[in-house]
Amino acid sequence: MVTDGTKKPQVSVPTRPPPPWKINLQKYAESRALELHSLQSIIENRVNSDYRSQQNKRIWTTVFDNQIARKRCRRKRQKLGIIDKALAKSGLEENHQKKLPRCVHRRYELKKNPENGFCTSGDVTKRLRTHVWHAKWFAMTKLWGYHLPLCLQ
Amino acid sequence: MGTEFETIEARITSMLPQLQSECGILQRMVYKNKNQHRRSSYFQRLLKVRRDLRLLQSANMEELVSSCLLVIKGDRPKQKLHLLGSLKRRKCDGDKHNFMERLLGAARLLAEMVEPILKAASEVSVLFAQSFFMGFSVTIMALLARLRVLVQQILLDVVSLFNMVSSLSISKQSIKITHNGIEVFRDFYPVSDDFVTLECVWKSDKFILLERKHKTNDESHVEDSGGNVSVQTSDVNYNSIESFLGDDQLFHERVEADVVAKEDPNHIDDMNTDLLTGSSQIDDKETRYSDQDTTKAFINESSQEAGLPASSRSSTNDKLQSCPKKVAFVSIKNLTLMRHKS
Repeated sequence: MVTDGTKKPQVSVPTRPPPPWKINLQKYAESRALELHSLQSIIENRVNSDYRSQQNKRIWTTVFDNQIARKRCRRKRQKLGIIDKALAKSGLEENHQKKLPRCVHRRYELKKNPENGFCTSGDVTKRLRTHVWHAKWFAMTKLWGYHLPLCLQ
Repeated sequence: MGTEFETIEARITSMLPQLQSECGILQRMVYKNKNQHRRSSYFQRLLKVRRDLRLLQSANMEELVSSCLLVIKGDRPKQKLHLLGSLKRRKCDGDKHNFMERLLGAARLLAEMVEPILKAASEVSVLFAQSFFMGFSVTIMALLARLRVLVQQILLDVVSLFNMVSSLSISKQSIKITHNGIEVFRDFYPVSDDFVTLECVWKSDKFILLERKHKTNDESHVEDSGGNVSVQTSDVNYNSIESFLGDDQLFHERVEADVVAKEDPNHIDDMNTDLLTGSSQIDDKETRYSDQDTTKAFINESSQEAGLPASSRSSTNDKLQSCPKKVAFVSIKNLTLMRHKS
């Protein structure tokens, strides 16, 4: 009548139910309201109610890159010098008059932002002072004699 | 004490499935949003929270908690003995860790999980302040809030379970095993080693786990040194006086009858068979017990039992009647009482 040795209990881990496919966000958050409030109070104590994101943790895109902006400024200064030289030399020698072609000359005129009034394009529509920036990000239309960006809000 | 441990059992068995479901939701959220958010700092914090939860799942908390409850309850005595015996080979290097060490590791992990949860929540609250990705941030905040509460409550329960089991493993106890109508009493003697108790202290916004080492008392050293003395102090009361007293009365009557009958060679054969059966029973008893202290006690008792059939000279009928009544374990006090009376 020798008893059997004690065997290790085989613990079978039950398979986990799959996570829900959809979560009702409002019910999910409201059922955890107490925990959320306590967590929020702890975070307020930690951060001292300063929720601004730190600048070194932001992710910059290429629009805000300083180097590209610097390069463009350098190019503008050089070409402006060329224009000044051309204007200066026009009085001295007639052979060097109108060194820049018209399309290039016109392009630089349109990029200017005068303090008073508007730039006018070829078909007498007026441009806003922020036209160059808006033309990158929005579709532009001609309304009421002005070149305007289309915004869907 | 009993009610406290029952509430802890009910609480922790309800919280572990909740923790698993929250972990599943977090993994799903991370899987769905990884492409859009993966370079941002709040998402890196979330990945660390997920890593800690995966570690906790690999620790297999359900098995650890169920083995602790087996030791505390004592419903299944064989498994309780096995688990308490596994605590003695605590410091073996090559073997697997016993369940108390695994439970200690799980408690340490639970204590360290709270900090990454709080950091991730503070990063996500910046999204709240800017009202960026509102659906994502609301879900993550609710999930982290629930995880924080679950993790800390499970840590408290695990610490109290650990302290209960460690106090049980220190104290000496006897366990009753019944198998096919046979009752066997198994005594457990603790090893005189250092033991660890855990304590949780609340600091500003989370619990911190403290481990304290204690040394065993001098009393246990004295008890361990005297093997025979510890047997007498066991709590089990053995019912064996009546059977031996009955044998004595029959012995006196049979002596007078034997003088008249004069059948000496038959008695000699009966004595030989009794010795053989006694030795077989002693072998059976010795195989059941693996502890050194109990084997020493049994060696002493077996030598005393071997002396009994030589002096008794009773007939085979009395032996057959007394065999089923015999108890598997006989204490020394009763034998000494018999000798004094005879």
